[in-house]
Amino acid sequence: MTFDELIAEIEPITGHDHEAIAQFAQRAISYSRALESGEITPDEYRSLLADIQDLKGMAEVDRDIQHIRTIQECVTLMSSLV
Amino acid sequence: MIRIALAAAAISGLTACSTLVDGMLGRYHAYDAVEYAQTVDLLRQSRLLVPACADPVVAKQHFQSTLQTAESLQLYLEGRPHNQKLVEIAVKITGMLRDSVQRDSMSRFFCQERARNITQATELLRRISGEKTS
Repeated sequence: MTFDELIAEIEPITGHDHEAIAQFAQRAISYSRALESGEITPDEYRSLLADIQDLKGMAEVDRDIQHIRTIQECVTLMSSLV
Repeated sequence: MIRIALAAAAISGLTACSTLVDGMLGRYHAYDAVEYAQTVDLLRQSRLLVPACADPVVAKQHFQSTLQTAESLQLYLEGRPHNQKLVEIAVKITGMLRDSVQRDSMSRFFCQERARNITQATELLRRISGEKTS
């Protein structure tokens, strides 16, 4: 997947009704842009991706996010960049 | 009067039942003032991580001192019963801090985002720790 394809897939999610999901999508785009621009290394990108996975896991533990699957889809898309 | 007493007894019974089920499922979390104070302290330190990222040396020192606080909290949480949820979150926070400390260098973007992620996780930890279920 190319960077542009990733943005096209994730951008609509930034308008999601569920604030936590919209925030995760914004974060996914922000991290991917930083990778694309060389602002962060692929290793740093992978670490931030792992952070998102961890935060998603914590949200699952706390059960405060209804649509965990959507976030997982974002994470899977992001993984395809590195 | 009797109806009110019966209703109160029923509510009390249901609450006790719910607490029992929570306990059996490991969800029971009793409020602990020491634990809560430590989570508040960790959150205070976490919130200083983002501004610290302006200077790599200061950032490294701050990640290191925050890691020590997180490790101490994790140990305390592990010593308390029915605390699995909080321990899981503390382990993740400690892992993020340790990874940051062990890096030879961090880009400013990475430092700030990592700091935000740690703060978000710590806010969750503090919130759950502050919930009184007993």
